Amino acid sequence: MTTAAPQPLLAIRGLRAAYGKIAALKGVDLEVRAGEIVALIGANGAGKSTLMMTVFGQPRARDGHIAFDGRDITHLPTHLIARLRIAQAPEGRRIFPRMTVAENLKMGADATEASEAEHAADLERVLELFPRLKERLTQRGGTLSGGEQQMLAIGRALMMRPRLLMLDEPSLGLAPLITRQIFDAIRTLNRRDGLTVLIVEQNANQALRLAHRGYVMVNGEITLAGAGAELLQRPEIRAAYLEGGRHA
Amino acid sequence: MTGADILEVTHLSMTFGGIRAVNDLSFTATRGAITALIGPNGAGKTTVFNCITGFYKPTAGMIRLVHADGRDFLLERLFDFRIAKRAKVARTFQNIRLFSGMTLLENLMVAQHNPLMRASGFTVLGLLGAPRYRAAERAAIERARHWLDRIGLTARADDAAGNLPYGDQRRLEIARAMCTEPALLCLDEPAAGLNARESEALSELLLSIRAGGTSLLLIEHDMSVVMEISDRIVVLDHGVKIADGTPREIRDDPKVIAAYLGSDEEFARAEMEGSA
Repeated sequence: MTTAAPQPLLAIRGLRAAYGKIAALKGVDLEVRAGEIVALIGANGAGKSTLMMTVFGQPRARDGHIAFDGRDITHLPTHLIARLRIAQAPEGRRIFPRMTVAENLKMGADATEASEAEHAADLERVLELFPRLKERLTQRGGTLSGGEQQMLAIGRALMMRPRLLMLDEPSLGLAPLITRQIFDAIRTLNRRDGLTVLIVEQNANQALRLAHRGYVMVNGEITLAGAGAELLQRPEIRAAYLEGGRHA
Repeated sequence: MTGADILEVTHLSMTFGGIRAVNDLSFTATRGAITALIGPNGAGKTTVFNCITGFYKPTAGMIRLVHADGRDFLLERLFDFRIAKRAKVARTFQNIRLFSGMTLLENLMVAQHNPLMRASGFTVLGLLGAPRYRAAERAAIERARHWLDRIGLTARADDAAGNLPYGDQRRLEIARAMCTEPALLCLDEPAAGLNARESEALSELLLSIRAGGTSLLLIEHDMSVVMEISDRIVVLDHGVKIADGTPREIRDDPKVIAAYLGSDEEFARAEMEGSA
């Protein structure tokens, strides 16, 4: 095929990162095109979260390049990377515990240049997605249950009007019903608004079904890439990540 | 309460300002069994754990723990450190709380601080190198090694706990709790952040802990784990118990499906089976 592929929104080439002497990423290539949902799966400790954090420069890449919308952001300071409207809902619910739910959500919106009316509309949309947060708008973040904090972290990221939304284990600690609502919401936001998403999930089954494409990471390297549906069918993926063994 | 129960929670209520997180909740946990506490996010599950382990003092109600030898403890009247030390209740946390700058081995040694201090005559005998202290220290290291082995992290014994991936940190928390030799182990979402294969290994670990005589109380959203290993399931919603029964009974309870699993039958079933 000679048709020029559109330039990827996020392009990662030969990325290496380390914690002290321990290499976490050993030359990773990954790209996310605009309008795509891409899933990154792999065992605990494979380097998935590190990859997401390296996009923000924490830790800094030791080698390789990260480009966002054609611009090299490998050495850009973290706060300027965030200003490009790359949003992250981090693993482990890092919300602001002493701020109210409403204030937490506003922190997400503050990074945008949207008008007050647009903020209000965004807020309405997030609260529609997570009615639980609506009930708790004036409560401090720290008083929410674990699962509610997870909803808040995702809601705050959405308030940023992200061009790229990075979700690190969004289903972590959420009830089955809520997990499904979140995955449905991501699918809807993607189809309706063209939201681009990079998602790291232990729930590989649901993530690959949601995603257009998926990458499999083992020990800091990408070992397999392909369409989500195709990866779901591969026996080695099924054996390693999808089945607990008891059905085998 | 029959002699077969290790824990009896009666009319437990906990309010924060105007918010009633737990409302007149009663349930029991059977000795030597795995009892699961499930329910939607914000249902009050962790609050119940915090009341049992003394992190909160309940607004009302009674929490009675009975050891196998018949000694009983009213947990709502004990300080949290006495609940751990005397009533022998240990727990893990939803948001991991390890000593992240300490090594794995050190984390497991800290858990055994109480017996070690006793053996050291509160450091005096320890400083003098009394044989009793050295023996206690050897036993503590041995126990730590045993649990590192059980969770498959022996090779990383000297790494800082904070450098472990998430799933391993969860297992280390379980090992740390087990080093206190608890009668009742309370686990808050131990399978969160684990993939299907790792969840399976966790189920086996929990079953082996039960086989060793420890009773377990489990908060978990991963239905493949809950349905497979629980002897009994208590379902909470809005701080109230809405169901209590065997995994089979819970699986088919329309109230539970509506509040927690989702009314979409096919989806609910897929979740239950934890399969594609």
